[in-house]
Amino acid sequence: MSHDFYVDFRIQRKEDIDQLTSGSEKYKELTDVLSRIMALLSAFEKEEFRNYAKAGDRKKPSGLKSLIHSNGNYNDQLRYKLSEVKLLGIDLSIDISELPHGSWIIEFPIILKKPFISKDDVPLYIIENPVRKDKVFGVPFTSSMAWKGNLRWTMMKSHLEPVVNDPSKFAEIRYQHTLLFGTEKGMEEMAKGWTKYLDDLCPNAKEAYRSKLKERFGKDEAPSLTGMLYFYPTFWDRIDLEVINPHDRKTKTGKNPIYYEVVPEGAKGFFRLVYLPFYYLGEPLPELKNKVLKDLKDVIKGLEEMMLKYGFSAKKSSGYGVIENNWDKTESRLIIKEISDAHKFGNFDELKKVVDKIEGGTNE
Amino acid sequence: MSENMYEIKKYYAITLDPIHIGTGGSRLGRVDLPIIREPGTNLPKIPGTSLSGTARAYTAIATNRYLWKDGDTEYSCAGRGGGEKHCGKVNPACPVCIPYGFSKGTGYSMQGLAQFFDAHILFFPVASMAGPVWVTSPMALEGLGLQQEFQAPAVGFYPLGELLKNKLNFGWLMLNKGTGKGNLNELDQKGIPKVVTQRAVLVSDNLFSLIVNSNLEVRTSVSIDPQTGTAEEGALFTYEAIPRGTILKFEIVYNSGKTFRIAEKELKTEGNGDVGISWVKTQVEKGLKLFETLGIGGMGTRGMGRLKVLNLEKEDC
Repeated sequence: MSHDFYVDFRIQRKEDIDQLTSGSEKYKELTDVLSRIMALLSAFEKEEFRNYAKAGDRKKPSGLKSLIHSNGNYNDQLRYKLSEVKLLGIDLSIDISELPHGSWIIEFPIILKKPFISKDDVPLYIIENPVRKDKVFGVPFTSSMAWKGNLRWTMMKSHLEPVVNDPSKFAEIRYQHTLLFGTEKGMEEMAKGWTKYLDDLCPNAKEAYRSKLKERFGKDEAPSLTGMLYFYPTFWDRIDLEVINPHDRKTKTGKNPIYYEVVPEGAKGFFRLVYLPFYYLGEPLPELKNKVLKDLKDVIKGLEEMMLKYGFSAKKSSGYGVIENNWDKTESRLIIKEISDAHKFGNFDELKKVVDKIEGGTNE
Repeated sequence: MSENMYEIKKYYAITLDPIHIGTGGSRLGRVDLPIIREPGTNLPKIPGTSLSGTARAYTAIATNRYLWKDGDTEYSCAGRGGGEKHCGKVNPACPVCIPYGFSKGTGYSMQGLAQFFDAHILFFPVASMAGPVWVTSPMALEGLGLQQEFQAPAVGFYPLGELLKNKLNFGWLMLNKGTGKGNLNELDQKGIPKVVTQRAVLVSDNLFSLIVNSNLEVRTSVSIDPQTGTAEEGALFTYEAIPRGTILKFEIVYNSGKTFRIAEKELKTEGNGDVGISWVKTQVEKGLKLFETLGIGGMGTRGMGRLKVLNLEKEDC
């Protein structure tokens, strides 16, 4: 034994790839499918094995494609690992009972209408585009960072861009977004990045926005703020392989297929979002309620646009990463601490109606 | 018989998200944002100061002392106070200032009744050819009060649970099963999930550091260009984190406040009771409970840092 996993399970012949795929001979010991996928890496050593390790050939499917589609029952193993993740308390409901008044949680199961694509950080993988997976459990997931980045971007599109001709409104919404998501990236003496983009989008709102921050936080330079929204990862129960095959303009044939792992349509996960009214703590309940509900309604609008229209995946402009606007109502939950008990909802319209009822004071 | 003046409580916790407690700078040859390590062993840890500061803020949130008013005076008992911001109330005792300490500009201050110590890795999860396994070492298991000796093979692993494999990989590192000593039967009551102890594997202290450091979460992040909605050029950065599913252990010493006098006043609770060990523990555990919702360390609102403390005294929180 060499003490190196990749040397010990090295692929030296084409048959090794088939044996690895079927989990036979020396690869019998690799009961974990993800480990077998990782062991495919040694096929990089010889050029003639590389493509075979990705999908096999015309006569025989093999390699990653087979491992994902059938031989390894990868999706069964994923579901088993997902149950382990839950046993450890990692993918469970969030407890907001100790959070202050006005904190809320939105939680509902989501089912993909179009596949979700992301990019994992593993330095080497048998294909160029592995989907992001948890390092220990190997379960594909949408990271909390991806949720946060996509929601902030969507809310900029849906809330800020339509009011570029109304500087006072623009400054007000931009300030609200800063409280929800935290300090803008690029908020420096010489604005850059996100801050510069918003400054340029509505130049007349620039000073009004900064004044609001100064007025609230009493500092000359931009304060470093944490956002009031807390995001959590969504673990998916399935994985699949897609291929695009760019065609040669002269011969009209495809010769270099590009494989990428995806979370396929129909995959299920849970979306969870917690709001803690950090910057409104200590305010009387009626005022707190107004602010909290306004934030809630705006965030729901953003979520709806992100999940149904814009998408939250790579290649979202090609329609990837949107969900079905219909989910199991019994698994959903909206609670606003001290303002409203748990409500259930089966789609975004029902969620908005629930919030309207709470706002109108009919908390049934 | 007089009550003890202090109690040491050992806590066990599981990371629900990767945890990043940064060093505040980069080190040559490593990622852009490395995490804090113990200098002697080179093992990642969570410093007691991070635990204490975060717990203080969360106790303040849970007890409505984050920002609050007493008459016309506004207080913030979370954070370091900076002069007159801590209320420093002793009768009834502030659930934040008394357990965590306070410093007032008007001349009096008090050290916290709760003392926090660093959190160390007890079981570290690694993806292996048999699925996830949790690695530990004799040194990591020291101080748990287990009435037995642990021995690991110099080069190899010794299963503490039900793993039947004769060889196993820990990331890239392959090891054979060797002879060792010890079991985790006594850990059952500590709240550590069974799946962890069943798949626990003992390695030597030297190998433990190597395995942990080779299998830390290293992630890459980018900024989104608002104009295009895609990754921003040149905004790529990498960071290290302790992965999900890691079991940590840390201690808190709870001191009784019965003998303390602040400006010649005794410390009393709401109902004029004594500020005993159990009262201090209850206030601190209200903060520890929120670790599992709001997290600890960097990038907290972006899904990093949730830590579930496994053996809180639930009836108090």
